[in-house]
Amino acid sequence: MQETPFFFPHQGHQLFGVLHQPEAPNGRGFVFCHPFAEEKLWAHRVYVNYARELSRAGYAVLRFDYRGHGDSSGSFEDFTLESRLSDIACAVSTLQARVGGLEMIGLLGLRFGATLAALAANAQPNLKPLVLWEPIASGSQYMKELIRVNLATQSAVYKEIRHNTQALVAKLKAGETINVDGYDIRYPLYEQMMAIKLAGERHPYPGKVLLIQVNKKEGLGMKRVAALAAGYSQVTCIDVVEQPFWKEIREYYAHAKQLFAQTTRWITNNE
Amino acid sequence: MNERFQAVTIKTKNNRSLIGILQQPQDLHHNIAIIFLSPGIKNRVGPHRLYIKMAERFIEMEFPILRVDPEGLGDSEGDIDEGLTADVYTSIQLGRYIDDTIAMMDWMQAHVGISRFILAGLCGGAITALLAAEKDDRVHGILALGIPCMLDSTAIDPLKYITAKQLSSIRERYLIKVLNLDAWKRFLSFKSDYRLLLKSLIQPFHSKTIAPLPAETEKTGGPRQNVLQDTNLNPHFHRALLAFIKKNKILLIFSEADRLYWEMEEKYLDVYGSAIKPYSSNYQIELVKDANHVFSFKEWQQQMIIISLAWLKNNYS
Repeated sequence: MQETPFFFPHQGHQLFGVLHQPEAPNGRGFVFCHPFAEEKLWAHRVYVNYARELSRAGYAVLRFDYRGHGDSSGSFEDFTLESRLSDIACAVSTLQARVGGLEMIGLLGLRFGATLAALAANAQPNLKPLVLWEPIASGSQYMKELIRVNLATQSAVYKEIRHNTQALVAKLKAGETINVDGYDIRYPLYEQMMAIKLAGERHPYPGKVLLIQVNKKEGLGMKRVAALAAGYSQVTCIDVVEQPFWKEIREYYAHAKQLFAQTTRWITNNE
Repeated sequence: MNERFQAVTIKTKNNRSLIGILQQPQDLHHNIAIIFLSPGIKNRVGPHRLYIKMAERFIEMEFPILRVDPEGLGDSEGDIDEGLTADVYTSIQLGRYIDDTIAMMDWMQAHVGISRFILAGLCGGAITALLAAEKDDRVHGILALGIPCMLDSTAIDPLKYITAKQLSSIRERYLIKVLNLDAWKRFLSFKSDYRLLLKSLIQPFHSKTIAPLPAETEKTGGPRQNVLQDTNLNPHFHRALLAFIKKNKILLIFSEADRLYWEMEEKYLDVYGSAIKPYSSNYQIELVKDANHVFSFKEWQQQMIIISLAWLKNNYS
């Protein structure tokens, strides 16, 4: 297994990626779409280790950073939903070009990365298969969570809320940024994310989809992913028990064993 | 500024590949480079890409900059066996990444031709810098953000070593909630931390102070055993800091709303302050008003970067 870090150009910027190349390639590949902002950093090692697992199983994997994230160039605040989708398309082309001869390339995403993967797959139906780990189904709900992070920071530091939700949204509309865990968000991204609604929509993506709900304990069901499932023609829903490794938790999480095992089983059974 | 980025792979003594980014100015004006060290368990970009934002400004001063993930973190090879985050932090605070830091300096010397370094880092990166400097005299400066002087561990009862300022801050939060119905519901549902609540409330009447070190102990640089027991101070911290500031410069920036600053004040400076005072021209302690541990808000980042740039300019331009 070979791992190569490299930069690749896209629209005047440099995207950073790591290519995992298998020793015994099976002619298939995956592009991993990472989560949003700080969730990307918390989940990073799980992504690295799952890329290694898939690579050992014969898949070429490209992990990469969207513009304004990780080591890719640009400032976070300057990029939008469209720019991220365009980055994913570029990463797919880059994987195909660097590895060559891949019969199939799929997308895998976690949280907002899964949401982006779902939207990218709608636009590129040739991408197969689609693996969505705990996707964000409602952009407006997610944006509320992000704004709550800002409010929590204000509260912890100033012992009061100096700018409430309405004031923060007004700042966005006035062209200012709002800060979430150190990341500055601008109105175009806010507006685009608010409009995202994966549940209750008919998705044109024709390929096979794996939807995984990550629960903290047994018996919590699959309500979140089931709401999305109806929109796809070929879909499998699974729930796994893992801690929410995309945020700060007590456990050190580098491997998500159930998540990895279930995903690999589904991928290999659905080739 | 026309800069060049390069993805690099560094081999360690254990034959592990470490992945990182070398950022070089178009013109190399310095014979000293800046190496950013990963904070805790996050990778080489730092929380909310703080290291990228800092590097963008530092490279304007034409320093070559290296950011690399140590073994088991970020994109690098290796695994971390600890099951709990606090235990990973402890291992870092005790020097887990010293050898990887030395491997980064070896690589820079071999590939860029630079053999003098400023090590920079937040939290775990800052303590790694200090501990690595004790082992390698190529380190000529340290830019430390929120350096932890105490140890984290699941084997430690954090309540035992909590600082008076932390307790005071917690007490303020409890008092604000005294008329909040939800807070009372939580209190009555046994979800509250009653030990912490009680300790914060009685703290004004029961403060424990540790005596400063006697003059003869100051010279040795070794920590007094009862100080370690009473404060959970990192046993390497004082020795490494004292040794470093005798010859080199260190900038210590803290965030005002960070427990690490309160710990530094109460557990270290109040006890060891007189031991480091003779070298006060070599260390600078700065505080960013209101900031949290990771400098989330832009104004805090800007202030921290302005302080850092001034320190670099005064000492290394």
